[in-house]
Amino acid sequence: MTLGRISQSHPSVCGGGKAFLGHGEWTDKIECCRNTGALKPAQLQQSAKRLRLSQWTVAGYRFRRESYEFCQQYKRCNCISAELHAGWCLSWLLLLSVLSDSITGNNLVWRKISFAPITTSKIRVVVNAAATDGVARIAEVEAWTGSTGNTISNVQWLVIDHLGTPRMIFDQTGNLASVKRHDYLPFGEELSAPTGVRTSALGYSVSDGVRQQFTLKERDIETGLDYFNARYHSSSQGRFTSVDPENAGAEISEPQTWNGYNYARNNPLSFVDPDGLDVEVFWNGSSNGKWYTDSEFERFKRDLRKQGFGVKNGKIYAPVYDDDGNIVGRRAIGTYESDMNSLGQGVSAELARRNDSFQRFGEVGMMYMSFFVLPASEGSLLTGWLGRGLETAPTQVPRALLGIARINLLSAVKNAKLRNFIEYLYREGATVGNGSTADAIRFERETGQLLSKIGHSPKGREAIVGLEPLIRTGKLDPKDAEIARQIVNDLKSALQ
Amino acid sequence: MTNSLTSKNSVTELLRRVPDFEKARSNDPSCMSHEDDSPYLVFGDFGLFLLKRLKDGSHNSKDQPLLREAFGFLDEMLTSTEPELINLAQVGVIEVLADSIDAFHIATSYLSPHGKAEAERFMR
Repeated sequence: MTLGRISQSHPSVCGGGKAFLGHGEWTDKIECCRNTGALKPAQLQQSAKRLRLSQWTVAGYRFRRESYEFCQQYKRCNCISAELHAGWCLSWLLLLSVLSDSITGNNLVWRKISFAPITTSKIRVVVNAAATDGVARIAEVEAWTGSTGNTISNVQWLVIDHLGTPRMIFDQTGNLASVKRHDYLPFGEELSAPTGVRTSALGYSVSDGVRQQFTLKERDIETGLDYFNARYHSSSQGRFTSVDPENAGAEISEPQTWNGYNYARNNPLSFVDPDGLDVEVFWNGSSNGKWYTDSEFERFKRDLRKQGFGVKNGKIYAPVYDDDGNIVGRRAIGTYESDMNSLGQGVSAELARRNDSFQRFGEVGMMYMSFFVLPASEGSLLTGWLGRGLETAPTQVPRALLGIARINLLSAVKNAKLRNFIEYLYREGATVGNGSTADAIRFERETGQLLSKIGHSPKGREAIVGLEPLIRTGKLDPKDAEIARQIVNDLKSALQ
Repeated sequence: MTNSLTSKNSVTELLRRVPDFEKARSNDPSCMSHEDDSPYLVFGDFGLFLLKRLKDGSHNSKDQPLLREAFGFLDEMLTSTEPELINLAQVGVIEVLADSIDAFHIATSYLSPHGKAEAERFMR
């Protein structure tokens, strides 16, 4: 194989099984591995049907024609077992084959993976040889961070903030105890331990090997520059290191775009610049990628409106000005979904898409492992790793996004008694959930592991008993009352 | 006279043995337990009461006898054999004190080796 392009069959295919990753153009060079028999053309065609090449009708794929070529080649070679390795230059093709001296059943199957060609050494394809030839083989395409030669893949889940920047990294267990954290200044400089309250015990400055950093961009460890496709960004300077190519992002009505070096219109808390050419609100509009609570989502929309953007009917609009500065129209710069995108919904959608046999990496803001199980029926897809993610993530990850809940709440609340409740119920520097008693209760209930002698439930129950009369007195202003209600509801939900 | 400490009488004993806290709680309507003697709320207020004194540097001056009495009581709870009592000290008081690393370290300096170990084990 050269550059992922297979030019000949693997010497060991005869009598054994082997999975190959085809990447490149069609190949018509097929060599036999063993010259011990002959197949009639009819048998060859039957084999081709088993490959189901002719049944895949994705535009631009010429499987039918190639399958006949395969037969011809096969015949000329006069061997009993061989493989056709064919890929397409636009995507990766995983050809999973289970060969023996005779090809039976649906042993040869393939799947298209639609992510871009991968050159990283941290992707590998593994064949699980333990599966029986008669049933299935399992091939895994893994994103992994193990050292060279390490056979253990370390799947990491990246929890992103509103800019797409991974802020919390979970290992494959989803356990909050081993979380690693990253904080950044607005233009992308990382805040490491011991800046502020950040400590290695909290997960800061702990090596995790994750390459996606500020706004999911890779940071060059030698120069410290972030790769934004069209150019590099210097987070320490808050500027791109080269000018906007052909003024790609410049707009006459937006003075901040006139400087070809500035990043995200000097508004890095609202915008991202995915390709180094123009800004956009980080919101990919699909059912994966971001998860907001309803209140966070409403706040997000309000913030956008304050900045002059329109938010309506699933789209986010930026105003368009004429030369005199008058608004003359609007243009869509992003999309959103009408309500909260829960992680469960996001992953469900991802599952549904995967069920369509097209695989993607990285869209959920996570680095995850794709997992193929291809039995004869092809009906059972995707269990295993993705399933584990479904079990652990929905209850732990979104709430953990609210890691600064205590600070936010204290800054928002006026009533002294309610502030005391918050100081009592939200612990600074806690590593479980968002530091709240409610999350401690959830953790204890979900894991069975008590964080104190008999757990946090009694504390939660008494806090409800204390907060409810405070709400009923009517002495709280509406905002404080709403926060108090949310705290009570959070505790009740945890105790259910 | 010191009564045997249990979870049943823990609030009464706290208010009796640390009268400064009882006085502060009665005079401050912002205390969570101002009109409520639920144990976890009372001990939560006790934690906030101690935290305030440790943060403002009182442990260096006239409050030292108060703090010795208060942490002596807390130590008794932490070293108790009754799980409910230990839990009350852990999630009611120690958890509040842990909001400040400095305060937590000062607090543990008042505790017996056993009590300190119990508090630190909880914090892990």
